[in-house]
Amino acid sequence: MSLTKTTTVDQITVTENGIVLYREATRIIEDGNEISKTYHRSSLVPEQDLTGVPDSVVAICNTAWTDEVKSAYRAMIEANQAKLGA
Amino acid sequence: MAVPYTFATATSAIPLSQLDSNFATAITLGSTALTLGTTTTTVAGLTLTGAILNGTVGATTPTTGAFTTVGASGLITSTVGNSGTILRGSTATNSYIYPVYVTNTSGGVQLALEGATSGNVLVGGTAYATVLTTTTNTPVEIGINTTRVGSFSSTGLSMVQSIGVGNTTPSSSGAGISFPATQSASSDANTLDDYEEGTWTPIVGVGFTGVTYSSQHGWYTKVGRSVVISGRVNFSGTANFNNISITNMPFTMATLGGGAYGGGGIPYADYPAITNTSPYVGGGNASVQYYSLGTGSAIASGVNASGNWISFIVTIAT
Repeated sequence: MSLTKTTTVDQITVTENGIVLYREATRIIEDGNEISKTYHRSSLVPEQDLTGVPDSVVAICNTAWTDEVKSAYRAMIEANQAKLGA
Repeated sequence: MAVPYTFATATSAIPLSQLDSNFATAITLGSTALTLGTTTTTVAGLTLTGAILNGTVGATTPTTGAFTTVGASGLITSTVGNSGTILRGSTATNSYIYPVYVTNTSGGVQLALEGATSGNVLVGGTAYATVLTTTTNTPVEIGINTTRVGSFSSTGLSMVQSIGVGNTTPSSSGAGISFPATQSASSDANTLDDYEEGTWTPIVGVGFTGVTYSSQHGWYTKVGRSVVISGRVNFSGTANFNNISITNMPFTMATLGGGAYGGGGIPYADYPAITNTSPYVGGGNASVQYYSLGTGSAIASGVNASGNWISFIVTIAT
């Protein structure tokens, strides 16, 4: 009997306003059969520090976060805060 | 009755019972056709060589080789091949049954395709034809490898373990509905098309500086488009608190018409600024902000949160 544990980024989603959502799947494999799978999700907003983020996700962020996307996201945040009096 | 010694000269039918009682050795009929009447006759130890079941009942011309052997294991084998018909309905083409095996074990009938990778075992003649049914109000049982896996009854489908939708392999643990790992979104308002549960890591995005954590825990459960998200952080050190925002949420709140937002409550907090406060998730955001109920203003305090807990639970739409 052999047990292996793997963690991979199995899903990356870019929202309309540039937020990058990604999911890491951790699988426990016994003799080639998956006996357990758990998910851990994270999100990244435009211009966020990408230290420690998986390479495949960083590549998506660098592509998705154009100057236009960054500016639009900043404007959205400022508009939301103004609306709520923050 | 007297038993004729020479059959060829017999002028009347000879009951097989008379043959049984008068001949202790095997009987060879040669090429003479043997016709059995309606009398029930038991023949023990009958061995036939060549075509043993040849032709059909009645006046139809026999089809040579339709059935040729009955093996020692009891199998009836057709020499026509996998497309050969062993059992056939009387009229409609769809009443054919195409199994290679038709066996009877322990009172049950087994139908199977031998060596076939595809093919229909039972086919109904119309769209709603009953091809598998019981004759009383008892379930139709389904099994795999001789083990029961579920049944159809008059009230619905019952499975021993899980059901996979979207061609998903059902989970081998517990019993439930297994959805695809990636949502297959349905545009129908009455269709549940996704389920997922997992963890995430709450991170203070703005508000504090010099943040260190004793613990960070987050859980989420997504059912359809609704996501319940909870998070809890315990600070080991902070400074300069102002307008706290917790980021890194697992999903973003949908941008819907009318400025839709998500929110919820605070199960526990021992930080003085978290009083009469509600967590808020704006449309298009993946972060939780804290606002004072009544004033609607972002909470602010210069108090260090070291050693304090802040938690929340929110519901958002994706």
